[in-house]
Amino acid sequence: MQDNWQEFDRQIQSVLQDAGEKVPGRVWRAVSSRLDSAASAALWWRWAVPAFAAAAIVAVLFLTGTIGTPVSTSGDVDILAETEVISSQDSTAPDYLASLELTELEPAAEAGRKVERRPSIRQIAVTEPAELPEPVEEVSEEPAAISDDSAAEERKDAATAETYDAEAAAQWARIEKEENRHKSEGLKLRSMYAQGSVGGNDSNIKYGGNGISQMAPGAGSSDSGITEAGQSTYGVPFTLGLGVRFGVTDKLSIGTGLDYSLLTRSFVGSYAYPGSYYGGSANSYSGHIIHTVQYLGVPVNVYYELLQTRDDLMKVYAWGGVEADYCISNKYSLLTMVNTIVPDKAGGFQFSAALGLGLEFKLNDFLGLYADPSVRYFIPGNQPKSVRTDKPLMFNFDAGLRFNF
Amino acid sequence: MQLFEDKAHLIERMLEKAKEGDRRAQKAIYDALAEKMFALCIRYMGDRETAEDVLQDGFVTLFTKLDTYTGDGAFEGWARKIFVNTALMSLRKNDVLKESEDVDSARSMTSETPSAVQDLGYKELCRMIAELPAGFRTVFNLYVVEGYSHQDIAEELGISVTTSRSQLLRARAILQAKIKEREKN
Repeated sequence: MQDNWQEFDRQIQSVLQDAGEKVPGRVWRAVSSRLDSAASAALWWRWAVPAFAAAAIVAVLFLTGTIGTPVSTSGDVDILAETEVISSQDSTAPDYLASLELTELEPAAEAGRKVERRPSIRQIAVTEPAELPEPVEEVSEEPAAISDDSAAEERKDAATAETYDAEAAAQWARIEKEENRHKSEGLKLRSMYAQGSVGGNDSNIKYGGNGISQMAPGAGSSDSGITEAGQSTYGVPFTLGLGVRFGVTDKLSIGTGLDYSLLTRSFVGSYAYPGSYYGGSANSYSGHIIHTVQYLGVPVNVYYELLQTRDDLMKVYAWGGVEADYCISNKYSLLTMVNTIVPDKAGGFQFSAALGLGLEFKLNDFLGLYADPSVRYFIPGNQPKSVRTDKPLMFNFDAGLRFNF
Repeated sequence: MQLFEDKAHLIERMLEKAKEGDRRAQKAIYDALAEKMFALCIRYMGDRETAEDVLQDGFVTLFTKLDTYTGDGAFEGWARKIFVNTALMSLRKNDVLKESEDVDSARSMTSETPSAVQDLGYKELCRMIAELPAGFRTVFNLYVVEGYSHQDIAEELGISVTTSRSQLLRARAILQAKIKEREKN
């Protein structure tokens, strides 16, 4: 009897051992989706913590002024002496004008910098086939159904698979069409971006060999009536921008747009104003002056993707470019004389070139975390004095949240 | 127990990439194993719907634990254990392994000479196994198809060796009865 059962078992084993059942396509889609989720979660924890830590450190450094510490420059001694004489001799001027002390300007507000992060068509083609349905092959076993229900289920699966196959084929056709159009047209609009950046000065960058920055063309040389004395304290340069990015290849893209930049500084100086203020005889103001220069710029940047995670959660890229900034405003505010704005000559271009690295981390489809260090050189020219003319080589470190459109 | 040669080679080629999370390599391994593992899951679970869930859980476990496969032994054997364990976990979770009958009643049904099963098709045999009570079906699958000993089965299912034996006898007897009934018809 035992031998009979062994034979019985052997026969059953031979029937069942290598048998297979047709698997509905939804199983792989579910498996793939769960693997994606698991990978995303793992990647999130692997990168988010250091990324947030880095962003937090940078933010703290900016807020505490360790990065972007306002740079002091030496003033013209002769002008300073002259100003002191004027101040001491001007007995009719209010006392507080003479006793003004230098105070640092508040750092400009920080803002995020948006960099395009949409995957190219080729990237879609590489990453998405896992989501496409696999061809379903019939099992070589007997076609008899286990039950009517399972047969109906199989028919339903087959119909679903056919529908899905059709959708997949259409998707691939669209991808190929886009790819071909992309190739034929050369450039394809890839994304739009909005960016904000804060450029900090590296106070360790020295010029002039004595650790003190050289003086850029002085404001006092203009016709505005402003005479600069003492050191300048710079606010952190602040830029906002909108732009578009065109894909050249799957890794290479070109971006351009429009940037607005605000540069500020403060210094002690004097202003020889027309007419008489306060009923006194002296026609000059002496004290704290805020100088504001605004630019509109057009950047042209080239981006090259170096690394990208499989799920497009993080990418590293290198970028470089040039920018032409047009000076739209150049004016001085006399700190203690409310509503006294002294305009100066604006216009002209400030050219610059930049090189940088970028790290993008995708939080979701619309929000990204980034860290984007770069070095920018401002080509000397006939521009109003600013941190750009005084320290033409600037280190920028953008960090923050990025919104994708 | 062995895969077709080309599938085994395919898996071998894809293994390293799949360990790194390459979805295409994982898909290739899935394609090579899915049908056989689905059949296994159906045999243990008794219906396609729950078998799909177990298949899905099994593959997620397989791919997330892929780096623990050292290469000792056939990959399919390693994978098969994962699916068997996943099915057993599901059965334990649903508390369906408690069914048993006493050995005497089982023995009373084993006096006849077993009928040949070669005339049965896979689907028909699969349907008959699916109709077995869950406890009997599980012991039958583990003993007859997977080659577990009664000691292993007892430890795996948390039952006694005697219960394992009785359930196997009972399962065989029920199957035998079904086959004979089919022959009569």
